[in-house]
Amino acid sequence: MSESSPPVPFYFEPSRQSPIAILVILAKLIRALIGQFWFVLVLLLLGRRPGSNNQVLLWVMIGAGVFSIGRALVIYFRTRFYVQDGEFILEKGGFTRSRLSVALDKIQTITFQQTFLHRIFNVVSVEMDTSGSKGSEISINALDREKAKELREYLLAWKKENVAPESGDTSITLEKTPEATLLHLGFGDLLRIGLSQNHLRSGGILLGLAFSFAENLEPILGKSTYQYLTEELGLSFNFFWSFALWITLFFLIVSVFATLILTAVRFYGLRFVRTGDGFRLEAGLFTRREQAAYLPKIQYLRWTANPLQRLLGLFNLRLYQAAGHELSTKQTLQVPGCYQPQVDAVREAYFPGAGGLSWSWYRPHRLYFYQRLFFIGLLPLIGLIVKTMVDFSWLWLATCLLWLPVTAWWQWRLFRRKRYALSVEGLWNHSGFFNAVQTLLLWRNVQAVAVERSLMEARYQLVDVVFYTASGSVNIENIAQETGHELRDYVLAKVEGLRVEPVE
Amino acid sequence: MLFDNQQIPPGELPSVEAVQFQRLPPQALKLRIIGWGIFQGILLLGLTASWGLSGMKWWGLPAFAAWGLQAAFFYWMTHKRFNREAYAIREKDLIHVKGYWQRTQLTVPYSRVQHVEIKQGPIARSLGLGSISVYTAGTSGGSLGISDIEFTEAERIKQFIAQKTGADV
Repeated sequence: MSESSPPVPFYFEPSRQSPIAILVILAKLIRALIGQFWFVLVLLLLGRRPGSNNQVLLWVMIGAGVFSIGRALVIYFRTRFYVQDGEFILEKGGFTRSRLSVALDKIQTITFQQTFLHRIFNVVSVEMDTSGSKGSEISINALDREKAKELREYLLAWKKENVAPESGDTSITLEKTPEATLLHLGFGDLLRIGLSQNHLRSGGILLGLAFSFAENLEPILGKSTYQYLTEELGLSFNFFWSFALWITLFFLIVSVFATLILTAVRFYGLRFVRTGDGFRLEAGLFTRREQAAYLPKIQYLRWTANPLQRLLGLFNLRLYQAAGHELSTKQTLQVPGCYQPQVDAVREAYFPGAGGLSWSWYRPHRLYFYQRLFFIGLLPLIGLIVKTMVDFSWLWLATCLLWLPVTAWWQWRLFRRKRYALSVEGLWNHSGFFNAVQTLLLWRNVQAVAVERSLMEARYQLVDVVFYTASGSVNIENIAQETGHELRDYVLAKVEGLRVEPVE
Repeated sequence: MLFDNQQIPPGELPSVEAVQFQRLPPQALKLRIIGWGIFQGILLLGLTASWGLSGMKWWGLPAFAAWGLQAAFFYWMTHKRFNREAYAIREKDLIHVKGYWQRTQLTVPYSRVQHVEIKQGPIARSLGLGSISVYTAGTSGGSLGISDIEFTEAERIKQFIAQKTGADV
């Protein structure tokens, strides 16, 4: 605890959230209600009533409003939190009360989040995740930013003093470095990132959303959305059918714009900061999220680049943090728009001296290529041939002829790019055809090791080795059985803290 | 120097391959055959009912033949899987081997265990069997579960792990 803290910090006594929490709870409820009853709103907008008169609806809305405000007030006044005897206690409840206590050493991550509402009043919502949990067990709707920072500092300091790192390796010493901004995205950077994203994926999401929305509207409209648009609104889709090329182009342009907008909303004002004991990421236009990664909690690193990003020298960097199963995605710090110096800085912090170590390089056995060619190339080809024979067309014939060479080339490139580098301290995987992917894992972060062998692998004396961490797994596929077994034994010895004399 | 145990000569490593594995008790096979029987019985009942309601049409014979084939296949698989499943308790970790087509050998060091759970269903109770699940942090893949071992053995393993981790798991 810092000396400047008040004699009795607020978190040692039962404290309430900021009064803004009432508004936040209300906003959450309204959002949930809109999510559930949006079709009623659509009906109202389309001028169709569900049968009863408008006055009943008005009274229902007034009743729901009064109930919501009452509920928000009760939740606010009944929610208290404090730290006592090494536990964080959260007393909460609307009409039913609960008392949640979480041992401070079980708290894995503390995340601040700011929606537009939070930002107006300079408050943050605080979420704490415990290992193995199904969600954020502790969630404080609104707390003054300064108080939230004070609480986080106390919890982190407590953990540092009282808990050994996740890996159980007590020899790790953290060198406290001064805070420095590694990356700050401006408008130009956002544009570059947005344009270099995977637009096919965005286009697919858009199409999926459009179809799902049209399908949801069907029961309300009483007929298919297509029929409604053509018959009731007099639109003709024949125009579009005749110009399929234009539609494709249209979706591509829309997806590029959608990606740009999504990128801007999600990563607006992104700041990636090297803090004293880890990293901090702040980003977001409407909801500003502030995530912190404490260095010993980072399980592994992954950085990727698609062909366009490779041309621009950009990387998408992900820091995988220890978190509960359901939260593992949420607790991943995603930093787009990194250049090599930022990747190197994070790599050096996570895995000091990685560049100076001697790495042994391995490639998967050719079975990796043959198996994938069989499942992706040959099996679908049989289906294509049957289709062509039953319902002949030149297009299907051309697809049949091209399928095998294209998939063979694709899988061969994938196979050639897959490499595993092993060192005494960790694993460095290289893979990917479209996206070049690199994964860096320190052995000390491994939670469990699995050696897997299929019937085909048994024939060639090969195995897959899976390293489970507290934030997902990293795999090595189709390596020699002997190497796999040796590697498993080595990693287990390392994790179990076996003391063996260092080799000169 | 990053760590004080930089490198371990491969020859000195304790190898998992040298471990003597403990097979599941014979009652486990009995329990799995009972499970197989219940599942296949429900399938057969459903099939018979559908056939009867459809007016005993021609597809009955191939459908019953298909049922018989898959029942025989899964009976055979139950035996194969049982024969291939084993576990080992070492000084510092627990190993579980399973699978016929895809062999998986999962090793969980005690130092990584978050908590241990033992379970016992009604049929398993009558046979004196139980299951043990050993959970690690974070994702579910790294957790180890051994089904149908002797219940007393499951309790012993739980106590042993608790002793090793020095905590109430």
